[in-house]
Amino acid sequence: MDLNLIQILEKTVAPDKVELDAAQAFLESAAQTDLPRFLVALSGILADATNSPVARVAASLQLKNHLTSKDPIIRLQHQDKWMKLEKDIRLAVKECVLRALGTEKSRPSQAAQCIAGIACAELPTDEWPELISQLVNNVTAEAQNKTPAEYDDLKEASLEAIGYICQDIEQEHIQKYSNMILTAIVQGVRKEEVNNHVKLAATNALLNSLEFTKSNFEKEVERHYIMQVTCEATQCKDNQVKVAALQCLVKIVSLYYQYMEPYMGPALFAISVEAMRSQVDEISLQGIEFWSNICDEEMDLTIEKQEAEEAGRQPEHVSRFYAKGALQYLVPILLEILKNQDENDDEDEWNPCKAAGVCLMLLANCTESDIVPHVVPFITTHISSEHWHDRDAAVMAFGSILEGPDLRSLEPLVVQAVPILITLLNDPSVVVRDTVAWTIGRICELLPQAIFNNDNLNTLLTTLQNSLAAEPRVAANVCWAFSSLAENAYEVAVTEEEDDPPTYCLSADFDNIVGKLLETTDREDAHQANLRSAAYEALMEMIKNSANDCYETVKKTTIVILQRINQILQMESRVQTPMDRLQYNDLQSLLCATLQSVLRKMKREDALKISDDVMRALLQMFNSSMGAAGGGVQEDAFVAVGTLVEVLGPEFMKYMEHFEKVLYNGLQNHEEYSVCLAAVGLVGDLCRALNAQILPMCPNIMRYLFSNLENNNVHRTIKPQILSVFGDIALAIGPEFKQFIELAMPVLKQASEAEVDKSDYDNIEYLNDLREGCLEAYTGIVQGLKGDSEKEVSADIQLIQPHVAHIVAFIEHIASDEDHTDSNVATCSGLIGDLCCAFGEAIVKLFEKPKIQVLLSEGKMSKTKKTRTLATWAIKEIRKLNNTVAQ
Amino acid sequence: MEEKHLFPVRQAGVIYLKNMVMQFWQQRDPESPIEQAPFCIHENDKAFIRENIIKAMINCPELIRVQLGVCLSTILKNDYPGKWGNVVEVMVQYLSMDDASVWYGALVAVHQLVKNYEYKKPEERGPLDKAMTTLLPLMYQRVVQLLPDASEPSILLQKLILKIFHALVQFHLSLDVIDRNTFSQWMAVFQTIAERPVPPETEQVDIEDRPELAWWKVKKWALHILARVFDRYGNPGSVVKQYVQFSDWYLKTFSDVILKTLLKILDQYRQNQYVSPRVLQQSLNYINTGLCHSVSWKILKPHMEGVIQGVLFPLMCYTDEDDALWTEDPYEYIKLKFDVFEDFISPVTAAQTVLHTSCKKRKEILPKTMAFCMQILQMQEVQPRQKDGAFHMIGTLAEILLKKKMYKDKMELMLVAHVFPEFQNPLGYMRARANWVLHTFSETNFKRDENLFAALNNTRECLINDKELPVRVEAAFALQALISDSEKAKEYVQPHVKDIIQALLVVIRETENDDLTNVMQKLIHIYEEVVAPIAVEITQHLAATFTQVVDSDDGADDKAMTAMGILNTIETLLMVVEDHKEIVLQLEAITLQVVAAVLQNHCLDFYEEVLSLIFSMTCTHVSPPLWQIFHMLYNTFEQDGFDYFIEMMPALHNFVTVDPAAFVSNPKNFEVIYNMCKEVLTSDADEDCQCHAAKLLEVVILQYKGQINQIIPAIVELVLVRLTREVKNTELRQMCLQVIIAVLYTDPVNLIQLLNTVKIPNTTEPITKQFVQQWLHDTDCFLGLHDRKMCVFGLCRLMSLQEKPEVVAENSKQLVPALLLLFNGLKRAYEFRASNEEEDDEDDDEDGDFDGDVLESDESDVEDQAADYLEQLEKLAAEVNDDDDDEYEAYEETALEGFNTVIDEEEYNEDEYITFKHTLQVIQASDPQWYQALTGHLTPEQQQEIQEVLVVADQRKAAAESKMIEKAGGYQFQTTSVPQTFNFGGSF
Repeated sequence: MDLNLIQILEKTVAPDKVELDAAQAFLESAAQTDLPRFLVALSGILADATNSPVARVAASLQLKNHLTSKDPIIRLQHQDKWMKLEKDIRLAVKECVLRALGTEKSRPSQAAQCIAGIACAELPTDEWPELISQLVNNVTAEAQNKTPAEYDDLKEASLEAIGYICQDIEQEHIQKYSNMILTAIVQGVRKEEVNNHVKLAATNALLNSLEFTKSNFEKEVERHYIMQVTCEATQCKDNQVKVAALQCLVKIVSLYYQYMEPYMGPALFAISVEAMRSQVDEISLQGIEFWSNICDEEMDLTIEKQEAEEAGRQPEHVSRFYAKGALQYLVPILLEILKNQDENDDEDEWNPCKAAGVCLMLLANCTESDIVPHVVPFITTHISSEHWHDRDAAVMAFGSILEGPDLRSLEPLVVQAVPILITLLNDPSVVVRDTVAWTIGRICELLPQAIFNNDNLNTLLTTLQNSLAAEPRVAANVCWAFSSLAENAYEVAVTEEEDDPPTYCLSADFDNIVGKLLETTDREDAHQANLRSAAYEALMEMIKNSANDCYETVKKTTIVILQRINQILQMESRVQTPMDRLQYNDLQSLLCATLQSVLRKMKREDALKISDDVMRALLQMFNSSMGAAGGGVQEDAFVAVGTLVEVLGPEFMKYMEHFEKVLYNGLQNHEEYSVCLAAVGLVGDLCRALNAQILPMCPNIMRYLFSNLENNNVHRTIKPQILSVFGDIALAIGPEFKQFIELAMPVLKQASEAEVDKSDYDNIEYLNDLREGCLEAYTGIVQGLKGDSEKEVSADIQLIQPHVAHIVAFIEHIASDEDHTDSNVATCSGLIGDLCCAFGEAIVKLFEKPKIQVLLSEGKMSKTKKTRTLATWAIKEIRKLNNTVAQ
Repeated sequence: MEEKHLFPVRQAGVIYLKNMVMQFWQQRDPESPIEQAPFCIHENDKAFIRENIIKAMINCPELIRVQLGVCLSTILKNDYPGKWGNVVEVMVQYLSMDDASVWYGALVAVHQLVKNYEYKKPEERGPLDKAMTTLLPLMYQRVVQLLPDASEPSILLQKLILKIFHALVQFHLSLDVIDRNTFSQWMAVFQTIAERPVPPETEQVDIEDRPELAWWKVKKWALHILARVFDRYGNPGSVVKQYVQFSDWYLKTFSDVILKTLLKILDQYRQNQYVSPRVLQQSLNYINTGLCHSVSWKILKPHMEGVIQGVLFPLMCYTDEDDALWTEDPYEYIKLKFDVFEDFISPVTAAQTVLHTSCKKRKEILPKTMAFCMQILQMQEVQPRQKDGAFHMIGTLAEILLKKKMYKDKMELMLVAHVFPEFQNPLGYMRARANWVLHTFSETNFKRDENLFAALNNTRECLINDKELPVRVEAAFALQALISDSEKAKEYVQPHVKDIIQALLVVIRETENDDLTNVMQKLIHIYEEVVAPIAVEITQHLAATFTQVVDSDDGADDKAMTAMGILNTIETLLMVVEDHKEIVLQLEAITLQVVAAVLQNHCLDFYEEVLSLIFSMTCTHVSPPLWQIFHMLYNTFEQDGFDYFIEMMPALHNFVTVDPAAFVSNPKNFEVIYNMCKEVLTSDADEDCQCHAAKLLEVVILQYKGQINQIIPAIVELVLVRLTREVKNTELRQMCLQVIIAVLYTDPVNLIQLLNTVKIPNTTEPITKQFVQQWLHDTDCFLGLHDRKMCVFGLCRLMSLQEKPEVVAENSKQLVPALLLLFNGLKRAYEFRASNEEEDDEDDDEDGDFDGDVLESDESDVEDQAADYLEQLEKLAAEVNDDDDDEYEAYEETALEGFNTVIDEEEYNEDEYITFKHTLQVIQASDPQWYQALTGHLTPEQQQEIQEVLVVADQRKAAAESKMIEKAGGYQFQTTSVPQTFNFGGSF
């Protein structure tokens, strides 16, 4: 078989497709029939240096694919299978792969990857204890019967293996080997090592080992030495080694900032600055990255310091303000790098120029106003330069420092810059226009007051509108600027949250802007640079943040959006490829979202005029998006229906006949939980709008809701929502809810008794949501069964009587849970008040429990008004009853 | 006392008697055993007087009775119940006589007795309650008997009985003495008096004199009692616990009958019959309380509209009396309108309150009231005075209107349509009213800028150009309120600030009104930049006004208030111009004259303000003239004594710390400080004062380390001597110890020598030993941040002494635990300070929870029901929140540490944690045996605590270094070139 297998393996690179397929089929069946033998055979082929390199590489690839995978689940399955193999088999394979180390003719070593694959499976259970020492030995001990070249190959491959292991394995399983590993790595990294291949492998391994060698970094002597060899490696003539060593420094400075002072001044500063200046992009990138990381660290430290100050403590770690001290050296270099733009910019390509922009932003955030004087001269000298590279760099620099420095110191600069930026929006260079649009967007977001107080506001608005017709990347940034402008202009104008302002500074241009944005969404090239969604987003923000005198435009826009939805629905037949489908769905979602935003602004009487059309379009959308990949659209459509329900109120009833089935479909769609969640939420909206009219649909709705609750495959976030909807239904149909009591109460009891593992914050949040859901359900049910009459409590309330003790115990349980939320307190208070109203004197004794009283007084002192009101009300109700009892 | 003597003789006699009794009745102890006991009326004479005085009071004329009453009061204070237990029997005896002529004098005597207990706590009222069990039924009997008799003597007797009852119950209603039955009986009396008509002949009396008639006065007292009793004991929800049941009973039992009586009184007023102002006012007060309860509201509800339109409205209209005063004495008019005391008795204020409460608490009232007011404003032929009343009502409701959605947007139109035109009204009071209305509506959110600007122009025009002073005053308030509430207004008015301020200065000088100085201060704050250049002018003006006020000082309170207001305004000005050095100097020169005048003329009333002024002037610098003030202060201290030392302290602290170089340049300065402190510490000044003196010494020692060696021994001796005298307060003992610790801290070796050599009278034990023992004993008395820090520094110095006094070695085991205790406290103190700072930062996000206050008609105020449930809740919450930390909080900051010393400054170069760590390290290295003695006995927990303190020490060191780096502009990078070799001193 071996010989046969070798030939098969060699055919895995055959140019002939038939041969290739046959080979693949054979290998698969071999693995199926007798995996142990297959693996042993493969490892044997790999280990035998006399076999052809092609066969060896293919064998190792096959082997590796049975040991590990990028998919974590498949990887676990592989490891599991491997561990179930006979020990002898595993031993044989391991022996072979180890033997193969250093004998391969190709780089990187495939055997090393196989070893790492096995190590990840075996080391956690200590099945291969000698491996690490053997690998380390390969690197440190002089090999007996090998030529120096062979020895180097062995060292390189062994270091690669170490590197892979460090990279893939959970830290805890390798911590105990950290000294040995580090010894081997450092041996390879140090400058005495002349073989750059070995050095590179060692440096890469170092990079992967940094996290778990914490204990070594804590020891000064060891740290000094690691730092020394790493610094030395950065000076290696080989660029690959150099880059790897710089990567190590970048990571070290993040992980071990607190230990860096002895190295920063004498070495790291100079090394990083030299790297930034390098003509080799990869090296320069690492230099920049080094300082970006320093900024990140120092910003975190600033936060730590503030938090400690607020608590009257000392911070555990403190900043050494490297970024601040290095500004004068770094900024000029970064600014120079900014000039190296690529005219045909590929968005996905990361280059020093972009990295420098990011680094500048981080420096601004980190050093705040200190950076301004270092950047401003560059801006002023370059912004009118005749070279577009200079102009763009100047604008980029300006845009990058807008966040961080004191707003008051920036404002005059910005006011001064706006007219120049307006002119530059028409710059001959698209790169410059792009950057200018981005910068204006940032100003709109960060310093809107500088724009609103600016004499040039009108010119700016006009220019921006015109620029919507520019290249997609420019236009997309302009859209973003409009989003921020709308949001901030509204915020400035609005006096109270409840009402829209009568007018605001965008009113005059509002209609034009909206029109231009609509045009933009329709541009042929709107799929580029994310322009279409940016334009729709801007449109939505404009509508959402519109003043009263923009209403006509809002109405007009609704019609346009509706037309577009109808158009697009007719286009469905043209959808062919999955790519088409994706774009088609995205567009539907965007239109749905826009529809919502306009509906939300509409007056009821106007909404009524178009509601038939809207509903027709939405229903069609539900039909067309059934099935594959339509989930997003369905969700958006449900939310849009919800908005319509809210606006129309009881009038929505006329659509229920057609909509009912769609709703049920949604409620049953647990594969796509966001759809289901939206449908459940919609039930709540419908209850509030339709009230008792919803009664005929309730048995069905309740059936689906119950089955969702019982189904373990249903995403857990839906469940609190469902419970809360019980409350909405009970409120809507009142005493009629009695038909569901027998089903609902046990479910609620079960849900209210749920407990979670509290070490995970997500779980606590979930539990609180779940309880909130239960409380809302109870509240709704109690209020519903009590009936609407002020004077008389319906006799149906007695159905709850047997459950009251549990409900009170539940409230008490929440009260004693220190993780409860303010909202929990509010809902509990409301429920207590409702119970008082419903059951009167008979119940008041139950609330005498201290925990409940503490809960109520917590509510009374809450920061939220709603909670205060509810708690005060509950206290009042209890007191009323206490008085009647007393008399 | 005999009638045979001529009245003037008798009068002279009784006055002499009064003076004797007041001065010499009380037995006083001699001030020292050697001196003779001070003179005191002989016991025999006392007995005689006691025996006869009541009889005398019964028989004598009114003028003499008044004097005897004062005597009796003093005698009762001293001798009742002790030596004169039977006085009650005497009173009973007279009151039991059928001869009505003896009652009056007897009642005056009873009144004196009751008045002596009027303000006493319930637990001290035993003797009175005992007396009342017999007196009260008698009084009741008499008053019932008198009721049908409307003659003046009878009415006067009734009035006196009511006055006694009022004094008896106004602060405490003893439910034992007055049970429900008795209470009901008395209530019937009050109701009868309140309701019965006054004799028709009273209408012949001039209207201004009518309130003084006995018939009206007795009614006044009846209503006074009713309003008081209802508010204090019958108002469920606001009463203290013991009256909870009583209040429920009260409300149910009396609401109907009393409210109906009061409504009748109001109805009389409505029908233009005379009702005296106080009767009206008290009736309204009662109704105001009744508005909050459902029981009483049900009774009031059908009448409320009538009350508002028929009673409140006319009360709130401009009256003939108003007009007379306006024209005859505008200054008096202004004074009256801004007099807070007037508010306690004015029916107009009572009307405002009722109007406000009813519109706030009862939802149907506001729309009706507004409709009524608007109707008046829109009438074609309306009397200006009625218009004034309508404006007055709307303005009273402004706060409520501006919070109601339904009204707030319409108010701007109302102002434009109805108020703005009144600025052109030839009637001064209407212009004043227009300004007042704008003042109340200053928070209006004007939708149209031109309306806001019109409001500003109108008020400004009135302030600057109106001929009538009251209008200018109202305009000043309105203008300032408008400016304070709107940024736009501020900008709009900016160009006119100078004119406004000048106009305001004139108004202030003319009226000497202290509320206006407030207005000035606020304006100065708002327009800092504009004011700075004219500050000198303003200050000169104010200084002149100040002199005028003080010169004309007739002892009236309001004058003093105005003068103080002016001083405060000057202080504000000084703050505003802070950044303009040359202006500051000019202002100082003017201010100093005022200050000097006050100090040299010993105008004690203004010391507080003047001292505060000196403090503000010395906060950032001390100019040469101010050093003169420093010495002037010393003179004041010498002459007026240490009474003002605590008030002087902030200024003295500034003199000591703000410009050390200047302070040190004149050796006399030390002398002044030392002498003052010595004076205080050797005198019998209270201990708080002495604490301040000790603090000042500590500040000086720390500030002038090494520069004042010559006076250190004197200070140490002074403080040690004080320590040997009795100390009641641990704070004073701790402060004195701290002065010596400060010396130890600055110069350890010298201090020990000093302690070894100094001689203190009355002590035999070595001083060093006493001092150290006391200190270690008291380490837990060092509280707050500064004191604990000092204590740590001191103990560290003590531990590191080369030649340790025996006592230190003897107490070696106490040292480290004491330090750990201090560090524990320090940790809490730092946390406390941080949390305080945070609280200050937090905005008060109280939202206008306004509709929550409105009550349904069957609903009472939240507190209506038994208050105990709520109380119980609050107590419970308090218990829950009461973690162990809470009780400490009081100790985490001391009042005196507000006087900063050098070691409290942020840049100070020694840190207590680092010093502690360093001290331990040095001892461990240089004197292992001593180290062992200090730490060998520590428990594992204490070891652990030390480790924690050492970790904090490292963290503080790192934080300090980090701060230094930041200050220096970030980390200093030296080399920019990559080194040839890397060697960080490590090998593997």
